[in-house]
Amino acid sequence: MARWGMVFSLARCIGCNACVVACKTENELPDSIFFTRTFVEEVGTFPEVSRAYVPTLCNHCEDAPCEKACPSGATYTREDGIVMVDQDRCIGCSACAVACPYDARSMIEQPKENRGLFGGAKAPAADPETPDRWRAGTVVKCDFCSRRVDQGLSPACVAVCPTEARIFGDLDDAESAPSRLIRTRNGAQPLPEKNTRPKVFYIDY
Amino acid sequence: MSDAATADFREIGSGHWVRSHCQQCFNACGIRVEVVDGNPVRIRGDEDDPNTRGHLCARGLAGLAKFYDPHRIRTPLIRTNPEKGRRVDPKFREASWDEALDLVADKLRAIHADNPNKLIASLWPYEKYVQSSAWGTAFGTAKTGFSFSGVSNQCANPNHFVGMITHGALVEFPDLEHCRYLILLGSEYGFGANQSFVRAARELADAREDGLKLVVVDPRLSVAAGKADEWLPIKPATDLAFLLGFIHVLVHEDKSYDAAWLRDGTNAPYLLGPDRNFMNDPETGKPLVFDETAGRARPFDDPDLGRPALEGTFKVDGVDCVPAFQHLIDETRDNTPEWAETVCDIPAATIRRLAGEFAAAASVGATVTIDGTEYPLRPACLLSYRGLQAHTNGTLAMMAQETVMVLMGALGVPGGLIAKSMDSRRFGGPPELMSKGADGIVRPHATGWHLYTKFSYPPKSLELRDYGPLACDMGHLVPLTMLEPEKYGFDYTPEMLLIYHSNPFTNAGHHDVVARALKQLDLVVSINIYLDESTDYADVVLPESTYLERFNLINWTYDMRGLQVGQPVVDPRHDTRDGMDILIELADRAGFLFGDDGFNAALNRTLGLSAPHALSLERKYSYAEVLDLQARCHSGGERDLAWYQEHGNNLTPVAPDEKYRMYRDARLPLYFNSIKAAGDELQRNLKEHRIAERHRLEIDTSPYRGIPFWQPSPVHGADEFDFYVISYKSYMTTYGDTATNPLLMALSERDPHLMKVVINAHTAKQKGLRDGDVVWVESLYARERGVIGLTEGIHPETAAISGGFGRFTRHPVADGKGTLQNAHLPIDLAHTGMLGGTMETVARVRLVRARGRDARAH
Repeated sequence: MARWGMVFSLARCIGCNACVVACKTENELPDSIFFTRTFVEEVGTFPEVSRAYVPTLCNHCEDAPCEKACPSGATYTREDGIVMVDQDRCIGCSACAVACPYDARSMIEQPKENRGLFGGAKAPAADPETPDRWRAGTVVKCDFCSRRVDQGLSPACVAVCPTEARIFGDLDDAESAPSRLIRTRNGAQPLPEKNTRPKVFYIDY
Repeated sequence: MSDAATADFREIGSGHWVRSHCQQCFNACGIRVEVVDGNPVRIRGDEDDPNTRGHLCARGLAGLAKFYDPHRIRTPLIRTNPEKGRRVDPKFREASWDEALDLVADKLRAIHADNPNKLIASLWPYEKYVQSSAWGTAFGTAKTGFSFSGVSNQCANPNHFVGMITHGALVEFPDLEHCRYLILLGSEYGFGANQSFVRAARELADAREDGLKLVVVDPRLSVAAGKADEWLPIKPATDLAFLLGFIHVLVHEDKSYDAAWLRDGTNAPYLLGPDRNFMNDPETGKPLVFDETAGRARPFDDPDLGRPALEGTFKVDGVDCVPAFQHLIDETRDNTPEWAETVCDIPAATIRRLAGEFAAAASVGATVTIDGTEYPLRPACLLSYRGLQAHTNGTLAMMAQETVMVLMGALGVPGGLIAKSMDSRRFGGPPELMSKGADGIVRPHATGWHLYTKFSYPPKSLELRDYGPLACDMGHLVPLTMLEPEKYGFDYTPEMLLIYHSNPFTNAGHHDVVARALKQLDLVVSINIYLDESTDYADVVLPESTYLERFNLINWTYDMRGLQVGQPVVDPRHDTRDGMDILIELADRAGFLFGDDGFNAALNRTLGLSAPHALSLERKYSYAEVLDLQARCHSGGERDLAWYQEHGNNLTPVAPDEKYRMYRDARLPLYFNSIKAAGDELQRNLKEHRIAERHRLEIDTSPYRGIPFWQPSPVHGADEFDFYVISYKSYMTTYGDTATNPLLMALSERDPHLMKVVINAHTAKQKGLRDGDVVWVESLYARERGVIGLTEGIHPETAAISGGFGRFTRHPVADGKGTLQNAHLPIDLAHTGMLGGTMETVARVRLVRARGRDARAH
């Protein structure tokens, strides 16, 4: 069984937002919900200025605080390490959102009727197989596109990334692309002091 | 959760996947579209596209919004309200295709019989602009292709014209496999806009990771600049001065250039007489060089030629002359880095250092062997685009860029700039070597391109190409000249405008001029997907299918052969048609589809179709049938359109010797003799026809020199307007077209800068402006509202506004978001670079804090 993880190359990311649109369309997310985002920061003062792009998503922590905080058992970790949310069991208490130090969980607040690209005139459901994909009153997050992963594909954000700044693979396989990068380029986990043991790593180049 | 246990791209949902290519910009990236129950539900990159390898940009991924947009036009429309104006409801009524087409065709027939130039064919469906231009050519109008407004504001026109005469490059690509030092000037190559973004982003990220040094020259901290090793905030429209300083360092101070290449591979040794034209051998008519070995002048290709001189002054048959290279030295003597600093605000020491680094990186003398062939290795590129070029002095700046590249011998070789040629590759044909003239200098391919316009008086072209023979496009002048045709010498007044995939209001300048011109026409016809600013002035609107419902067949790469298909992934959702089918139908009904001069014949010529796969000149084809013949013709009958519909593409990399040095032994111009010659001829013609006296038209022929020289932009002057306002292309937009996309707009509105008027934080403090202030952006030509955004990353005198926003249209997603920059751009000859066909895209504005009700955010 694999243990899925991701590496972000900060040098390669150019903030183009292809990942964000891929994620939104893959997961048919309501307007205000983002499973992945890219933060932009200007660094320095004129004329010595540069810009940093920092992509983020759920870190799929080994020691997931959201899972621990979840009173209903809706949040669980699959055998392959993907942290999942079972919407049938989620009671919308937001304890997970409070517990997550990465702000990776979002409450679906809008009633489903308000969804759709053009307000009332919404496009046909993008995936008829799962018409009730997002239920109002549940607190959801990125699942590494588990449906794609189960088909042997990488998450949508990884597949589309023009600069290949997102590298996905099996962290238990020492020779997988992310394992090698973490090892050779000092992959760093976000907020290590929180002891959540993220399966998402950042490399500078 | 899907039950699918195996990995197959096509099994993500429960639908089937159709291959096509994206058409939301011109790059034609391969896509796959998942269709469930007849509805497209998901777009992803096609991993079998060797160019993009399955990656795709935000725009491409968001394309379904276009298909499902409830504001699409669903049926032909005919105006009922005779009053035309900004936001005045045309009160369109729905019409049948027959009624609408006949109405348009009747007018076309009348104009065709009278004077075809009375039609302005403004055709700019970028993925097939050459094919659509052929329609205008067949009709016989002098104004066809591109747009009424012109791409002069959107594009980097000199890139095409100067690139083509220098080394046959419609567009240039850095050879990132070998390049180690890249200076981008006003370009986001590999970071957002520009050619081949998806592939370039990957290649440039790879190259940077491998140690390529990236320097970005741009007034604004662009995406590229923000990621670069070094950002040089330049004053807008002064890149030319920067490059002249750069050239000065190379030829005067460091003497860093590839002298052997200049002697043997360029026209640098050709002797120039006092008139600055080549000294030609009286016997052979060939240009002379001075043979240092023999101590006398000889034709450049004399088999006994020793070492030709690059420097010095000589007397040949009693006439003083200098090699072209010596002329470059003489002309750039005063362009010291210190001088350049006073013009462009980049420190002299920086210019000196960069020129030195660049020359060292170019490693003159180095070679590399690829597939058994030895090539010069020049891993250093200067690459510019709209930011450097879309100014009145942009052509001279582009000439300066090419001068540096020629000096280094870095064109068409590994590590340098590679030419995307205008050969028949675009339509599926093989790569073709460039030819050379009797003067030994390269001649570019120009299939479907207009490199030179012959002078005629009265002029024919409403964009005044008759007075600007080398201009790539000056479409922005059309609204100006059509309002006062006699003033410019025209003996006719245009009556009809056909707009196809263009929106004059959002890509021209000064709105009053555009509006008056649109109102004056008898018939304005728009082929469009949505109603927009310009359809408010249209009499007939013909609804086009989206790119997910129509065909195309193209190769937009620079180093591959083969074709890529665009195809309907579902049937048209509404009563819409492929724009090319609309053109075919109009040609048929107006009587210019058939015969030797008809649209079919024009398509045969443009697409290079020959028997047995040519269009019959007496049969009507659907556009899909045209493409089927194109596919068959260029594959020797092996592949048809259906093959491409199934497989998507057959793109394969060309061999190295079909990518590098496609000019072979033709010489490249260090001295732009063809520009000089065109200027001399223009001067003679203007004089002969007394254009200045007759029309009080001062056509400036001074830029037609063989060597770039400093010429300021008309915006460089102090007045009460204290900001240069620039526009830029964001990674979220393709012109204004993508502003109707709610997914992209939602993200654009989250960007800290895209919707704002961005200025330097220190300047803002001095002017008492704060982040989020609502201001009026005021110029002589417009007053537009904007919201201030602050940054450390912009030249202190500059305000930056993203292109693609500031729409004023009935489309609720696009309307009123962001600010429109180009309304501030004057439409006149003073702000037009007639040499290469550029519109000055920088304007002078002031920012005045809005008060009272106006100050509330949008």
